[in-house]
Amino acid sequence: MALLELKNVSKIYGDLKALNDVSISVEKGEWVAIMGPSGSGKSTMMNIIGCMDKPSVGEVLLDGVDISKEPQKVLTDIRREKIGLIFQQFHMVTYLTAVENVMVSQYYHSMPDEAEALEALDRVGLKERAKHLPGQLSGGEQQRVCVARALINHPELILADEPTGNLDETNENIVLDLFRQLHREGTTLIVVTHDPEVAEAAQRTIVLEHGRVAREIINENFEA
Amino acid sequence: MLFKMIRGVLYHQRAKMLLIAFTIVLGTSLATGMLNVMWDVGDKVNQELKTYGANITVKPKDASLLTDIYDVGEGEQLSEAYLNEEDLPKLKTIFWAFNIVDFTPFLEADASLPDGTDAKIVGTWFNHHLSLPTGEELDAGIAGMRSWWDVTGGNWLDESEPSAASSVMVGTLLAEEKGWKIGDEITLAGSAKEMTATVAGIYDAGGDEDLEIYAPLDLVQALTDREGKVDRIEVSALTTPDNELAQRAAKNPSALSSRDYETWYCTAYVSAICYQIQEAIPNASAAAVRQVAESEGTILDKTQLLMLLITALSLIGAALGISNLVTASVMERSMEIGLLKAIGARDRSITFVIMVEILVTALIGGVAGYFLGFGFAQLIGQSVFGSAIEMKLKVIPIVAALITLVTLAGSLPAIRMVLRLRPAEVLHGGQ
Amino acid sequence: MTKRRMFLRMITASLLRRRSRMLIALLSIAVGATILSGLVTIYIDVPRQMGAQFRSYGANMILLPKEGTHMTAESLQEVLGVIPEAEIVGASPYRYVRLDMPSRQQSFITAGTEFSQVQKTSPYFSVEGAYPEKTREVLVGKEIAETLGIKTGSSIELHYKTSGTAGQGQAADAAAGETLTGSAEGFNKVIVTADLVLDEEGKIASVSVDAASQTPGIGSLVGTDRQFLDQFIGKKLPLSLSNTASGEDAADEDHVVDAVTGATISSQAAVDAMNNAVLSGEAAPVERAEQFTVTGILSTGGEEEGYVYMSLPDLEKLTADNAVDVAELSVTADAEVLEEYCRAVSEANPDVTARLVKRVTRSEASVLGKLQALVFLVTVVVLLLTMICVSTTMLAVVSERRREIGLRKALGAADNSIRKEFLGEGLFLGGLGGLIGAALGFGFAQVVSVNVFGSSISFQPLLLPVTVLVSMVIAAVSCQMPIKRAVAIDPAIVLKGE
Repeated sequence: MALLELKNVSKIYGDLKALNDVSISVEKGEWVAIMGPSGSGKSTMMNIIGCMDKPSVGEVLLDGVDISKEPQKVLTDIRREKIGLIFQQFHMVTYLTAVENVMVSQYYHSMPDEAEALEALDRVGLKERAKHLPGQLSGGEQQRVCVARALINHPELILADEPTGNLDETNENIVLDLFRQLHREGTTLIVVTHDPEVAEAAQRTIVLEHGRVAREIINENFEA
Repeated sequence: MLFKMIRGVLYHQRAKMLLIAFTIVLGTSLATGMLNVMWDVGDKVNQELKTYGANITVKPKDASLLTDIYDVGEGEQLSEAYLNEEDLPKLKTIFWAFNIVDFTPFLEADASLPDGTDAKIVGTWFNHHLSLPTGEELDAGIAGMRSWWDVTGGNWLDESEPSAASSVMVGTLLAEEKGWKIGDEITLAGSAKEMTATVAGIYDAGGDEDLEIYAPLDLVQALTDREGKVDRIEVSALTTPDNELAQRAAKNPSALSSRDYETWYCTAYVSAICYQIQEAIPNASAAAVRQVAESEGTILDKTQLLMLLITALSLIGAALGISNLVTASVMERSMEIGLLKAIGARDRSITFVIMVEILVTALIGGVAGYFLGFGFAQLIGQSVFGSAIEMKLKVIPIVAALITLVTLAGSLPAIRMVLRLRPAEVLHGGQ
Repeated sequence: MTKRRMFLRMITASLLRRRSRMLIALLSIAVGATILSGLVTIYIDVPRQMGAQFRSYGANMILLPKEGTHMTAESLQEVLGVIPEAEIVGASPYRYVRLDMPSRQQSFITAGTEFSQVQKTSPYFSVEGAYPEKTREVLVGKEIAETLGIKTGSSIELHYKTSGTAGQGQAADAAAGETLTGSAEGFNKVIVTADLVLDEEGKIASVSVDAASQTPGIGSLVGTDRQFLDQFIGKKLPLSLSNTASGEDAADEDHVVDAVTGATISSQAAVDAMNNAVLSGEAAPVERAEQFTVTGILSTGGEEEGYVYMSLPDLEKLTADNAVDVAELSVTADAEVLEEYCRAVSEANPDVTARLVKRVTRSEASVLGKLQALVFLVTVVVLLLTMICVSTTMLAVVSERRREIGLRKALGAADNSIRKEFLGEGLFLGGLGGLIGAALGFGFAQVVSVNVFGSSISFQPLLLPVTVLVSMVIAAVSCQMPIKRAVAIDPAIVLKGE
């Protein structure tokens, strides 16, 4: 069964069609990369899937619910319950420590649990850095905290926007390894990127051009 | 380029700059308003204190003592010393003429009433119109100097009415005792002749005056055949509170050094005004009514000090308010500054850009705030004292210096802090 | 960990780790709160403090005895009991008597008073030299001093004289110790005379009767019989004989005496003579003199410069009576309260009338009213502006965190939840800043009070919670404005921006 289904989705800003009649489907447990040059509509699509924006036309079914019709408040609930977000700019609360940043996610979701948050940091290899503030962490470390934060609530879908865009190769590999682990555990992953290497790590790549799906590539070399 | 950048910031960061400008407007208006009020409050309160009546009495030299010590009847004056009514306008020719707010002459006598009793009758000016040789016109008299009198029946005598010459005002106790009402004709017999007068007003003064009759000066002069004579003059003057110099001068002005004398003579000390009155009016002895003069000094001093301290507090408040906001808004721009540094801007040029921006904002806000503050001062002046607050020019440089200093002081620590940042950290969201 | 603890942890972290920003916000609120509490304390205390300054104008209330009654220093003290002691600045009794100075053939009005009180009720009195402290010291008005060449340290002799004219002998007016004489027709229409002296309560202290004209051995006994004479001691006038027909007099022991047996007519004559002595007797002229040292010359610019001032006990000794003509009171209260006190005084002692010195109370009300209005307006304007300044600073400090708000939203925070967090922070800052400000403000008010009025200010307990509350409200409200704007923005835009 498809976890996510976009049916004839368009997003129009004035004269600009950021998304033009896009239909895609992502199965539960699948790892999909969305690629495309700047301005191809990647971010718009990501925002719509992440319940941070609504399409102008079309249906977006997440776990069978049409999120394009729901009010903002319900979208916030859905985002909280089902989606883990990872951003290119990391975006951490600057005055909270790594573990506290993870706990913020727990706080909005259910109950903060420091032990669980530390476990999540351990998983991304940052147990020792748990008490450090974002300013004291490197970019790679910050992104790994964001990954820990995204997975702490066991979301059905992890949505990553250029997760490696600001990282060096070593850190990029660490983050990709984390994605592989998550995939093995059955988490659905959608990674927006313009880096072919990152895209190749996924099972399937959807290429966007000018707001349309240009093609889909199944990665034959995919290693689970 | 610099100009473009600044213009860009001012334009694109309109909201933030408006916020700063707004705060500076408020701070400046507060400072301007308070300083203006503070410097004018002395004059204003001084005016208000005139409600306590005269602070200077003028009597004929040598004569005053006898009538006071001997309990002799007014009709049989031992002393023939009087002041001349025609000398009164000279009060407005002294150095501090402008500070003489009001004055009125008095001439007392005993009048025999038809029922055989005597009553004290006091001749005075009520609202006597004077045309001075200087071209000034004024109304002087007790109407303005007995603000605490309640006219319980009728009205204050109006000397511009033709009937005023044969009208009198009567104290409430006397009127009650004799059963007089407004409009009653009463017969008054003085040492020289007998006259009839109409009761035009009944007043409650809350003192001995309630047993007396107040009549136009001419009437009492005619009654006792003392044309052109007055016993005593009460003068209400705006004065500067006494200091050590004034106290020394009050004892003996001729003992002062010529420089001290000059200072004293040209300051509105009550003793200096008394001295000048004695110079102007022949054969006069002017003395400060200590009850009024001294209390005025105390209250003026206290009020001014009070306002000074409140002003200081508001200035500190305004200064901290502005510098706080400037600090906050500079810090807010750490990202932008990080970017400028990343593209190779030198610290000095960044500081310069920020400073110019903020000073331009401060200038605009300051000018607007000055006028707004002047409005505040007028609001206070009009609603409290019912008169405008004088615009003091010295406020402008003080406020300008204050705002500049405060804005700079507010932006410097923030800029220093921001400059210490490493651009990469800022741009990576580490900050 | 509970949600509440995490909530607190986030707020603490925000406050502690964003120190410089938080300090700015805190400073701003503290300044606002300082101005609030400082100015309001001053505003509340100004009438009291300024009112005390206005007491330099002297008495604002006078007490007078009702016609036909007496007032003494003691009865005055009793009456003053109805006015709260803290509000009485001073209360000066005055007794005015004309004293002569035979050496210069002058006479002056002399006022007997209490100098310690005069200095309080008439602070404008200027004394060259010193106020009298010991007995037999006087203060001389400047006009007298100048005319007569009296200097500080001079010695003057003052005389008190009563002219001793007839018709003054009302019972109530008879001074204690004064000898009263009277006469009446006795047996054979021959005159019997009696002298008597009353004590302070009006009781007969001593009595002598000249009845030599009466029948020797019978009528003349009324002048010599100790038993008859002694029974008068302690009796009050008017007197009557116990065997007279008038029953009501007979019932009153204070006024009834027994006649000498067999000499009823002479006894009645003696009693009549005593009754007459009081009603129509002649007071003997009295003259007492005392030497005084001048300790100071008084100048006021008013009629007081023609008076001599001495202590009340000194004047009592000269005049042999303790009456007080008038008392001047200086009370720190506004006209309405003073009116109330006037009524209270009349109720407490119906023989005393209290009046306001209108010139002082009326003018004080008008000037003080203006001053209070001035401080009020200034307070309102300053507060308003300060509060807006505080708001703008809070606004700037919170606006900075737009990105953080966007992130929290992206993480699934509901708008209300974000508002709550910032509200918590704002309330904490407001509370802390308010506390600091309330303390600083009181300190400021205290400095003002000590410097301006030379007295400490009274702490307004209610102002502490009010200041803290107002600061919290302002901090919270000014936080909410930018937050409302921030949460309204799509998280995507905030996160993508810059």
